[in-house]
Amino acid sequence: MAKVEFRKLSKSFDRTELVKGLDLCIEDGEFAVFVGPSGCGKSTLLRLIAGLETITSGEMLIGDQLVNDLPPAKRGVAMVFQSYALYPHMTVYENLAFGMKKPAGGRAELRRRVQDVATTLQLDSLMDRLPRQLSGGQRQRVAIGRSILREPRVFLLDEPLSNLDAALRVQMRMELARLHQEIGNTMIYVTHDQVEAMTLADRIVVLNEGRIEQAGAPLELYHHPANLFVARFIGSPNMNILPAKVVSVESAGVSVQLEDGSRLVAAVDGRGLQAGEPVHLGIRPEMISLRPADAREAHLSCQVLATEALGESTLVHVTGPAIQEPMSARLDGVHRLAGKTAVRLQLPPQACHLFDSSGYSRRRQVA
Amino acid sequence: MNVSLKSGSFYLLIIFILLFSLFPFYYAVISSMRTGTQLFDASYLPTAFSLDNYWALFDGQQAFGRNIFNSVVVSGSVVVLSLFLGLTAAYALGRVRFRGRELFLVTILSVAMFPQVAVLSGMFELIRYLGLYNRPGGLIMSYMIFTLPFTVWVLTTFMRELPLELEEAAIVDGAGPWTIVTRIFMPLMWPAMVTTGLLAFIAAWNEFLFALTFTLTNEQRTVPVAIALLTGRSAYELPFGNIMAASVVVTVPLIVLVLIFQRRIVSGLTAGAVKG
Amino acid sequence: MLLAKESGLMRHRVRAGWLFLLPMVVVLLMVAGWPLARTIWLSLTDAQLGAMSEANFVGFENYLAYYDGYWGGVLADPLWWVSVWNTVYFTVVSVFLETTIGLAIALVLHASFKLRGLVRAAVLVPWAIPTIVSAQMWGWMLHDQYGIVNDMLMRVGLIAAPLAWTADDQLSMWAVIFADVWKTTPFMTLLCLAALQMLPKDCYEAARVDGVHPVKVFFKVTLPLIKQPLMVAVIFRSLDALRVFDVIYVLTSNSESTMSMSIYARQQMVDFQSAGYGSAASTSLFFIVGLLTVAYIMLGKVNLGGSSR
Repeated sequence: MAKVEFRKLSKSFDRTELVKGLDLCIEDGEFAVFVGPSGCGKSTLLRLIAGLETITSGEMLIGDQLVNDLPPAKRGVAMVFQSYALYPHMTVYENLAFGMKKPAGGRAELRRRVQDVATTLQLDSLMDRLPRQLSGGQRQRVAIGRSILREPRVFLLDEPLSNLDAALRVQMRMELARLHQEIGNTMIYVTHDQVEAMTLADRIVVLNEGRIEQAGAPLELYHHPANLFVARFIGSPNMNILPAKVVSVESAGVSVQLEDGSRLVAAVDGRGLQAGEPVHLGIRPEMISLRPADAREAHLSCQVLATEALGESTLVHVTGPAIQEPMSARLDGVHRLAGKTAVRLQLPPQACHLFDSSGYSRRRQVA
Repeated sequence: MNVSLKSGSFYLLIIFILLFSLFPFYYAVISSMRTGTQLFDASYLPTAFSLDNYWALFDGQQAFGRNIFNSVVVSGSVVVLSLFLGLTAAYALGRVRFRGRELFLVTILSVAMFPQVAVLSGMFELIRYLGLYNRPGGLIMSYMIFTLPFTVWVLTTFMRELPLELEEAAIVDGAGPWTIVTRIFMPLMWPAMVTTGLLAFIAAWNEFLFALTFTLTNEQRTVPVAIALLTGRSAYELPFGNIMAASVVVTVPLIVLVLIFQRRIVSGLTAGAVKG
Repeated sequence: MLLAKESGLMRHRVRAGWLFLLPMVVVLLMVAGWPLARTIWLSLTDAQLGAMSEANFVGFENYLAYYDGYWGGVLADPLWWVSVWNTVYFTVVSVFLETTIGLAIALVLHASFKLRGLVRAAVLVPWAIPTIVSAQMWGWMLHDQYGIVNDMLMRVGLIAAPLAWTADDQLSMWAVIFADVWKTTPFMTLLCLAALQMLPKDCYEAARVDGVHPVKVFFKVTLPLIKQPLMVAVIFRSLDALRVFDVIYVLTSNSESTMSMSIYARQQMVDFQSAGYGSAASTSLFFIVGLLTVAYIMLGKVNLGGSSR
């Protein structure tokens, strides 16, 4: 079967290390998504799996077979490129058939298989067109069809949706998910878009500067980010981060003091934390609720900078004495707040994340 | 094993390509330093280091210094004239839409490509009529027939690539065509002008048929004619020592130019041909 | 779109455009149009080079005329047809060799390896050398007694005795072709390389991942994709080769076995002073080249106009 495994995998270009000793195992049939900011090494990693780049050190196994020195063609992988890489002078049919192995049944069999895949992807009526006569979504489907026809053990997809417009992207996302359910092969998907990662992945691998920051199921990453980087990267709008100091460790969580002197509790495992230790408090915008300026029970007093009405919800951007970067809160429904309105924010202890001075998160007490 | 064999034969191929490209010139250099009977011996390594052949070029009898001067004057003037006429024309052809523009461009291109011998007698007559026979002016005028179309063509290609917004912004600011060309496009076109000028210079420097036909005396000849007609000091001596020395003298500056401007030349040639 | 509008501004621009075009057009008419027209006119006269004003109109006599018992004129001269054949032969063989060798070298240089920039520059060297110089260099290397090419071939054992490359009727055309191929291959390499660099890189990566054999990739992907620029390059080179003069003049001078149309025309015009007859030859050359070009463009369906925009 085709699981993909890295052991201390490294890749350098002219002395710059792009991939730094990765250990990871992607199980057979898994849909793994590599995400990270540009330059994090995710595309390099994909090209290493494809064999388009050579490994500097470490080992790579595909289906328990060491593939370090195997040429791309012998690895049993198929790749969908960001720019689709369709041959510009060949028709859709020729593009689909060009990379296929000769089937035992000869030409007729080949034609039948191409036809089958074309039907699945609704390309029937386009077989004689050239790539430049196709829309972005159609090209995308041809590229995917071509990889299916290779019957690979592992599919590699390099930001396949990034050249499509927003509406088409949503549609293709669903199609990809359906495709994965149907054929059940291992898929490795690279993107910088965390929405794609959240919706498609069985497992997300967050990469940063050539290292794995965290690998896990989408909701695991959302609820329990391992560190500040993942916390900031997953979720939209980004998690709010506030500098704070530990006051005391209690059974209900950790009590911290913010820069304006206000205190609140984060329901996290506080073992090992010392009073006075600098930490970061994190809270997702959708977990914050807004209170009037004179509400005593709320924690954080601040001023409204701007509001963005999204229809189903409203984003309120605020600043205040305890806040370094402006914070945002997502409130259900429509709220009208003038600029400079004084408000208070309530941060429920259960929703708070706490990161120690080296950026690692404390396990939260509830999911 | 397989990999090292592959890369080994690849580098062998590279070495072969280098030998193919460089050996003749290398052989010209080592031959130019041989005199007399040393030339009879076809050895592959430098065996002599005499500069006599070089001195002989400038000893007054050959007037080779004068030939070089002629070539510089003729090629330089041709470049300046072609660039000026080419730039203004390229603006019109590259930026202004008018009917028949494509036909115009193809006509100009075909002028650059048609055989020079086809205008030889008419040109001869014209040069005689203008009193330019056996003078640099005759060559400068006749060379425009191939440098000008080429310059127009390449500059037009480059001109088309400049963004339209630049010009629209200038028009909104009230600039006329002359201001647009001199104040906006000229500064942006410098790299293209250097490239085109260099290519025109090389073409003029290397021209032979007109130079041979429209000059008479050794003092008026350009370098290629002088080298073609170079003879030894006596009929019994192989002239190749001298010829190779002259060849090296006129080629080294060109090679240096080409190596320095390699990228520009490539972009100019491809603008002229591939994109065309 | 400001400029696309049919407006006063537009008309103003067009007028300015013509004004900018005018100097170039005048110069071209003077140095190309007029001499060409005069050459064609002179071909219909009995002009002598020394005294062209005393020319008389003779109709097509310079091209073809029937005198008592024999045919005269350029088109009846066997030597003219020899030179036509030589020129075409030279063009076809040298352009073919330049294209294949140029493409081969370009494919090698397209790969990435250490010192690639330096090798690319070195390959350009022959292109920088004036044709006359390269002809002289090859003349020396192909020298019958002291030439290094004979020396090489004898050392390897391919020939037993030195060959008279530039004097032997069987060999002299090949000597000319060698010199031309050496000098001009870099031009083809350059254009092929530029064409190769415009190819979509990801297609090649896709082909690698799909395990398509490199030979199949070359014939099914590379060649079809660079066909257009390659055809244009071949046209340019062919037109250049059809007017060949310098290399032949230096290597073999007026030898019949290598005489090209340009050599023939100039010999009649300058050496024999028959401006009228020579003009008839050069006018014939002009029309032959024109016809071949049109035929080639029609057959190859080449788009020369650059009218993509």
